[in-house]
Amino acid sequence: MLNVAHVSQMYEGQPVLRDINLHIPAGEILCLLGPSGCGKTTLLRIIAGLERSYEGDVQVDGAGLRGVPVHQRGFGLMFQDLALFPHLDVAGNIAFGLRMAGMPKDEQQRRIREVLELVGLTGFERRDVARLSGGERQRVALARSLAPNPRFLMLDEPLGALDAALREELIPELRGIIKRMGLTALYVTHDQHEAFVMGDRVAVMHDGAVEQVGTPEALYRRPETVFVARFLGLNNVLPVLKWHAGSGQTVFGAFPLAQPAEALLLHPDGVRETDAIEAAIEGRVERVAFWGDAYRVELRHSSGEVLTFKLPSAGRTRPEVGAVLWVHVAPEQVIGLRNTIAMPPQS
Amino acid sequence: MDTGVVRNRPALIGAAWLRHGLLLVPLLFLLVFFFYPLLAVFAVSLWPDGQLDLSGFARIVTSDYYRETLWFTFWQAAVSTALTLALALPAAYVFVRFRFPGKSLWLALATLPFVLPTIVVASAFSALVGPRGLLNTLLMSLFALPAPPIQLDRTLAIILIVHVFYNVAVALRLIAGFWAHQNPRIEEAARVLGAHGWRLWWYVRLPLLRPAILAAAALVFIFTFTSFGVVVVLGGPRFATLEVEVYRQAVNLFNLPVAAALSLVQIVLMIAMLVVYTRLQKSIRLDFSAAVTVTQPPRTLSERLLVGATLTVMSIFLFLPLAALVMTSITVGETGLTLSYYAGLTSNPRGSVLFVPPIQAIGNSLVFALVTTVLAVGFGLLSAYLLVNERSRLVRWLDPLFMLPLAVSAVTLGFGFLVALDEPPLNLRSSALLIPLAHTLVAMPFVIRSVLPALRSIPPNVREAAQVLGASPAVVWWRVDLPLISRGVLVGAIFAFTVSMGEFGASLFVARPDTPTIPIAIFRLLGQPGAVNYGQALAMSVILLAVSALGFLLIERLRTYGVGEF
Repeated sequence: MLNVAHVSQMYEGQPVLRDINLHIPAGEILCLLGPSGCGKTTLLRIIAGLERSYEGDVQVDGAGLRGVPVHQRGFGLMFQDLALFPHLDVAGNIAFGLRMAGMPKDEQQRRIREVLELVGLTGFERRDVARLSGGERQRVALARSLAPNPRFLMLDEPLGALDAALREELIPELRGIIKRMGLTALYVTHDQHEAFVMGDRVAVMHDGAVEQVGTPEALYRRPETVFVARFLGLNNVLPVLKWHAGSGQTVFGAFPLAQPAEALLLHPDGVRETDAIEAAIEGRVERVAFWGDAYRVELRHSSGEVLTFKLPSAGRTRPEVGAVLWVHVAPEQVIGLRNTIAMPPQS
Repeated sequence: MDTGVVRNRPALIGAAWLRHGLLLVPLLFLLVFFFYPLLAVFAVSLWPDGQLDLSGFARIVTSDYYRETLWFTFWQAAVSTALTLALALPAAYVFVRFRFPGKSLWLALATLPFVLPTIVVASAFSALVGPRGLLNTLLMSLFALPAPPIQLDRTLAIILIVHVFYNVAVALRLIAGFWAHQNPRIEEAARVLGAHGWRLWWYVRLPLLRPAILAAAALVFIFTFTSFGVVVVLGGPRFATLEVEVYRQAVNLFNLPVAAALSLVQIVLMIAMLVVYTRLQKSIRLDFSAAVTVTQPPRTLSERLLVGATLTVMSIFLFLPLAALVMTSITVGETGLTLSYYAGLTSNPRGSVLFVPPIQAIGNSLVFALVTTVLAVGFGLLSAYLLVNERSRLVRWLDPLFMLPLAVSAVTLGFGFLVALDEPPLNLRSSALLIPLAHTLVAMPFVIRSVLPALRSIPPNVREAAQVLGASPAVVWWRVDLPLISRGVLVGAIFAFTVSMGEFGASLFVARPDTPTIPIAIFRLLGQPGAVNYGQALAMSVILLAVSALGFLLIERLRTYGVGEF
């Protein structure tokens, strides 16, 4: 449905976006995930038509959008700070897009009632937007962007301003509404958890480029770059010093690695405590934190490097600081990574 | 007595009774030199023979002549306001949306006219488009015309033009300042939803700017409603606003009851309008979100044309009159350049309207301005301490009281002085103090507004820390308060000096014939025939222009955000 082809942008001599390629099939929610400053909002603004200077092409159903001004694109956009019209009430805000489209008054009324019901704000028509709670304002902003039946919906960190508990509650609800309307959507966020719950697929952005696109499961199980692994909280990344015949040499010793790679990830899914004979890694417990279902243990290797593992807490006692611990890593959970970070992967 | 006020108020000096006594001084000053004259005006119109008699007042207010004056005052203010907004709105758009070299300088320069004395602006426009002005002289010599082709002198057009000249920057700053603090996403949201072109203006921009536009309109309306100098000097006898009529009735016709009745109406209307303005202004202070509009350099041809046209119109409209003033002051009546009018300021020809050499008017003004500065800063500082506790109910009552002298026009103030202070118990008729006293009333609000924000922003625990470290209240004031408010005090002092140098309306009432100030001297010289009088009037205007511009530059440089905002 939406196609982004070779989009790049420079700002004051610095590349903001580097050759972005994305395809969003009809009915899919794609999440753009990345830290602030990675260019995800800029990309969204280019798609919306709010940024005019860029290279490359954005197409909807095969038709290029260059030269189509913002107001003729028929998209919906929900801003991070919502940007509700302070001079209009709830109904006025929602009616805005309908009025611009020339919808007759009585039809507008019906549509407003419809979307208000959809977002759970039935009867809020005459409320002043300044007097709504944070969650209610969010819903009005959503209703406003949904009302004109946009062919494509964009959401720029729409829950960013809310506290964690409310966000937790709204994410699945928001997904439910978008899915019920069968919309194709682009959802921008810096929160990995939010992206995983919201998106059918997730595109991780870093430094103006898309690092990896895939389902949340694919991203989590098989990250491709050091950045993606780290951003998803998979921290046991080791630089590969030398690769030879299916084996990558690190400061912790050699690990099975089918292809040459710059770094490797010891995926937490494949890590378990073991005895001295089977162990791949031996280290001294440096710090222990109790996380409920697991102990988070920092192990210092004889090389001086530190790795962090989560060990299931059920049926065991707290590992003692200073004690020696052995860890086994399943070979299929050793994942080779590319490195796109300017700094060395392990400092 | 609200004890909370006393406890929270920072100590100015040691003993409590002396402290409170000092704080009462500015109140006393206001009482004697502001409210007493005001009451005297009321008395003249409502108690003509020692008892309440409303019939005279009613007769005046219902007369045709009065109604015509009021009507003229209203509609010229309305037209001036509309014209000002029509110019300020597109300019605000350019300043908010686009980035171009020297932008902040442009904005500062555009504000210059607003601080110029009326009399200087009047001279400047006379020098540009008056019968002896630059344009007419140029056109007459170019096309060998027998008479000046531009006939704007003593027309409504020139009054309106000068009103726009004066106020366009005020409206521009107010609207642009508000606009720049609007969340730019709101407009983007409207565009995504399909708004474009005029619909963007009509459904989004104008409604969003409504509070700022209304506040700007109210302010400009107030300024032009009370216009005095411009109408008196440029309008000629055919035009009279309420202010002008007060002056004519009181000074030219010595018809005090009529003047008093007009003053009374004027005061009531002004206060009503100021209440409206204060309400509007509060609503535009509410919405200061963090988001600030991102400016871009003009890119397309039409954008460049828009920016270019705005700056061109601004420079022609705002700076040409001032340039013409300087040019004409060294050329008028001569074939080449001449400094003779400046040199002539020291001589006192027989039969002069001034009775003294013009240079003495400059001396008078300097002395009056210095006295005014000392008085206004002293009283203003004390007033600021009186008003420092924002939450006190007493302060909420007192604060508008101290701003009232700004609301009551200078002409009414001068008129009050004329009525009240020339007879016992307070006979100051022949005192040279009258002028600085009147100027102090006008300047004090500026000092208070410059000092108060700084004073209020001193955290109380800073003073407490100093006290715990062993500083006495006097030392705390010297070592903590003063350094923190010094910038505000300096801005206030420059305000007071500049205001006094340019003050026209009140001075016209209270200046004695042999002690004219610069504006009075210019006014008298402008009213006389002959190139010498005209040239000298312009020369003195240039001097006053330089003083005002310098004061303005200093204030712009010194003031930090929030200090001296009105």
